[in-house]
Amino acid sequence: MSYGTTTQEQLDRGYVLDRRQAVPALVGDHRDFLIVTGLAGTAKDIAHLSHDGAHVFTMAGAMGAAVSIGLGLALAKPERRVLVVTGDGELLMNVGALATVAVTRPPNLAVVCVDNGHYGETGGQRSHTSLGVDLKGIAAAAGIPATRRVSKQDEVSAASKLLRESNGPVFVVLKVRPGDPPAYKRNMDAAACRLRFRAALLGT
Amino acid sequence: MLVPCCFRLARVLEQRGGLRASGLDYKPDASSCSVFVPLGALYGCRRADKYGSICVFDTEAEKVALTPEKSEQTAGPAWPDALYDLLCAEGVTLFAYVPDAGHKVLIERSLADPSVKSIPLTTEEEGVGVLAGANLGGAKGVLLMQSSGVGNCVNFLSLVKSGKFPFLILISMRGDFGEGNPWQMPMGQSTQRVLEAMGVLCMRIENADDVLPTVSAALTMTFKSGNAVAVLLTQKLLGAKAF
Repeated sequence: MSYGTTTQEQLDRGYVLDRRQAVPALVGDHRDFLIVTGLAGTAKDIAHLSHDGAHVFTMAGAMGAAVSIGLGLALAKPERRVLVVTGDGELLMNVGALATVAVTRPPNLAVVCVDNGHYGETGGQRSHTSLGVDLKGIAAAAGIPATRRVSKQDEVSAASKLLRESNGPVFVVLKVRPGDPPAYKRNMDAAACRLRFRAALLGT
Repeated sequence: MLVPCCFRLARVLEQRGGLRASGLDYKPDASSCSVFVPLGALYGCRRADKYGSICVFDTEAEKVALTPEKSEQTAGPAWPDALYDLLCAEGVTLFAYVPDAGHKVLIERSLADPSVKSIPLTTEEEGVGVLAGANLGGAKGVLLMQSSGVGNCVNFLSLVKSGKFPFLILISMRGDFGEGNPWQMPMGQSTQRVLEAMGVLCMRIENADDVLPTVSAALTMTFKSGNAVAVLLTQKLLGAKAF
């Protein structure tokens, strides 16, 4: 697997978009959301986009927890829109969380899976999604009412609108080609980030 | 003397006229399910309806749990209902659970209560994430689970420890006193050590009389001093299962 160039196989599978353009385009104005991210790639995507904003909680461990954290936040803050941005590897580690989102049905929760089909931080091993597993299908079958697959530029803006306007949980798979996220040195002190997040949101 | 009780009970009292008769105009706080009512109003209804178990606090610093006599209609011990009222009175609004018989009353009451959110989980570790997210949003949650699920939580407890999240689990024990299923023994016998290894404080309960004081202490240690706390409801309290 070579990074940075698009192979015919990636084209065939829809892993074409560059995350460095596609994630910002899909998220749009990040201040519209309270954001929880996964580890590594998506944490850097969103930290870079938001300048490590106080309305963002990024993870650097506890792999598999992003959707659940977003769910708890969405239930606690029904008046705000909550966006989870995580990777395919992170989501696959706790795919049951999609079932819990489906049965809990928070109207203000959107989940974006930035799916490059690979474990980008550990040497580029293929993940289940590039071996045929369809996360959008899993989310839809679990009962999440609004699901989208975005693999082309002209599909981004409708999905971006859906993240903001859907009255019910939303799940969007954003297919991107393997490649580095933007470099960004974010705060990795989870306790400091927790307090920063609460201070900005709650004033406590 | 005014005491906290859950919002739902207050509504029942109001419908009965007890609160109006006392001249108290109570106002539910939107961010909490607890309201304050006169102690007399609670006494008046203690045996009169299904809210027979009501936890009230003295106005002094020390909290006193008054567990009324078991109502004739109620099967099972009185503490589970009183425990639910205590959690609500302390502002717990999220109940994340993996089902277990030891948590039956808490699960059923949370599902029936429109003033709280009840979240069924596919695995216990999800509950760790849900409670962390709830804390980010300013809500208090509790995770209800069986000791068998403690192993599922371990990696997510990194989140709790790194983020210094207040975190409360009520764990019904398997694999301890009188256990009849050999598959339950390894996790049951390791539960406390595993939790402690990840920085979770453990408080064991063996007697019904200790349930409310212990959980009350755990609530304080969680939400006032910011700890991760597990309350272990042992099989001496719950009864051992033969399966």
